[in-house]
Amino acid sequence: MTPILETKDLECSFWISTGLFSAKKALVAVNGVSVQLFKGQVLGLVGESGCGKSTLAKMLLGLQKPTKGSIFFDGRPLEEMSQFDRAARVQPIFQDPYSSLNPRKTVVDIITLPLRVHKIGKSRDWLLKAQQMMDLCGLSRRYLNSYPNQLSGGQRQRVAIARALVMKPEVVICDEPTSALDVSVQSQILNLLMDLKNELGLTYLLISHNLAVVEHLADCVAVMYFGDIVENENTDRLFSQPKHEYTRSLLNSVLIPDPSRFLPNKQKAYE
Amino acid sequence: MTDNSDSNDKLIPEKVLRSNITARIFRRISAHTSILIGGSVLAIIVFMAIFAPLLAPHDPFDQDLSRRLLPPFWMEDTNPKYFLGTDNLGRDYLSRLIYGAQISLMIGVCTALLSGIIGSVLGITAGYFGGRIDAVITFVITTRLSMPIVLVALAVVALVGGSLHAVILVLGFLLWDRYAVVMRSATQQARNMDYVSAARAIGCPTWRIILSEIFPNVVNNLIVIATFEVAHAILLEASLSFLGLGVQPPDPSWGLMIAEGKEFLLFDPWVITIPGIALSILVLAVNMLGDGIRDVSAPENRN
Repeated sequence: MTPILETKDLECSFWISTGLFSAKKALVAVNGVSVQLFKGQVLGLVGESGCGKSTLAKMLLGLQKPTKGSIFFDGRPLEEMSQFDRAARVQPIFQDPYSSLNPRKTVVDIITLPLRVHKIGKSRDWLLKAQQMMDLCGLSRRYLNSYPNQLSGGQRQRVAIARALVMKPEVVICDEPTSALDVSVQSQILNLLMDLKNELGLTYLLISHNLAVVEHLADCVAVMYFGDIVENENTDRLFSQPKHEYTRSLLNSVLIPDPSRFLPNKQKAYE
Repeated sequence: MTDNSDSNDKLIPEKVLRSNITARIFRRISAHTSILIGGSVLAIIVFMAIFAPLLAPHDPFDQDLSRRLLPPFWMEDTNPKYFLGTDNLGRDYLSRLIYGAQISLMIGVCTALLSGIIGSVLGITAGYFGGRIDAVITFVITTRLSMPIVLVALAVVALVGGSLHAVILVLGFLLWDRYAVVMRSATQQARNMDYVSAARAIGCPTWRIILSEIFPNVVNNLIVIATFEVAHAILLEASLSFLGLGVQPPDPSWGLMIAEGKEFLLFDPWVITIPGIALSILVLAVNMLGDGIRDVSAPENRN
């Protein structure tokens, strides 16, 4: 079975100047990453801040050119596809719903933008389509004509999801889709994402800080550390028997909501 | 919190949607005092300029030295036929003020348009593409900033001769620096937003990203600078006319009227005061309108 999305030795480095007269230094953000994403699967990608998760997501979306290595979509190298064709099959959901929606556009304009750019369907059906997407994403139709700043964070993220899914993509790259939302809304958005996945047969790459989210949703988890995938394993196995040192420290860093245990540094003080 | 309550409602037709938006914009405009005041004052001045031949009581070029420097209506020894008095050549001041509005407005608006187009194209290009293109455009901006406007205008006028077209072109090609600088930094800010990434991930071509994602988010800066530059251009025309480089007599422009009145500042100050007040009112009206448009169009003021 060929994976729907596959990267081979993907590398990306940035050149940063360190001073007026010193030579530019290379900062390797992603260092030879090979992951496979199978249809209908959820691949969780975890790792600390700055380890290259978002750069990897950007490369998959075509927003960032890889320095080395290649990406395959359905076995076809992505370089052969134009950004336009790729867009119809891979779509993003960004972290911050406050900056991912153009504040000058109404919700209906935001949701139908992919349809307008790709000229999908007739223009008189776009409005209908937007309303169907809003129903699907649990957003009341009366917000059709609202501007993003009139909506709450959760509602904005629903708009972003509607925009990502309106073209019926096969793969959705969720770059920390809930980390900017408050806790009560997080679970709603995650449940919505899972419902939509089952309904539309989507494949997710789920980038998250939150290990509980990944454990709950992902079929497979890739652990990233300093631009490298250090462990790529079935979720159950990764959480029960972590192999890599970094994965273990990552799992140990999770606070367990158990009142019999105190906060890590408080514990000593009470002893 | 899921809002599925009214999902079974009928679909909202397109016409209702569009009319809602227009109605909302009108409501916001009519609730904004400074737009109403600035807009109506500007409308009166524009109306005055357009219908100058019908409104002016006398021919603005008609000289008569026997009735020179008649004072305006609030002073003594006035002639009721000459409401705002006459200038040093005996021309009706009110008629010259009305005709002068034509030229001052034309210079202000045309210059702001021309320099606005040049400046925003350069600024948005530099801000969006960055890198080498940015370096080149920044160099051009710096070059422009280091040229003194009056000196360049002097040289050009000496070469081609002073005329309305020359003034508009010279000012239009010199006053774009503020647009370019502000649009560049506003664009740099906007292009790093996620909605631009989202548009790129959708597959929008670059022109479409610039026009429909970046431009609407920087256009409020453009409006504010444009109103400022209208006023700036009118004042610069006044100083160019004052130096004898702008609009050539006997054409009336408010700047030229101030320039011509400078000899009478001491004993007949109203010769300068009247066009001066007209100019301040115009500049104030344009600025109020610009501020108001910025407020109304800002997304954070929508509710």
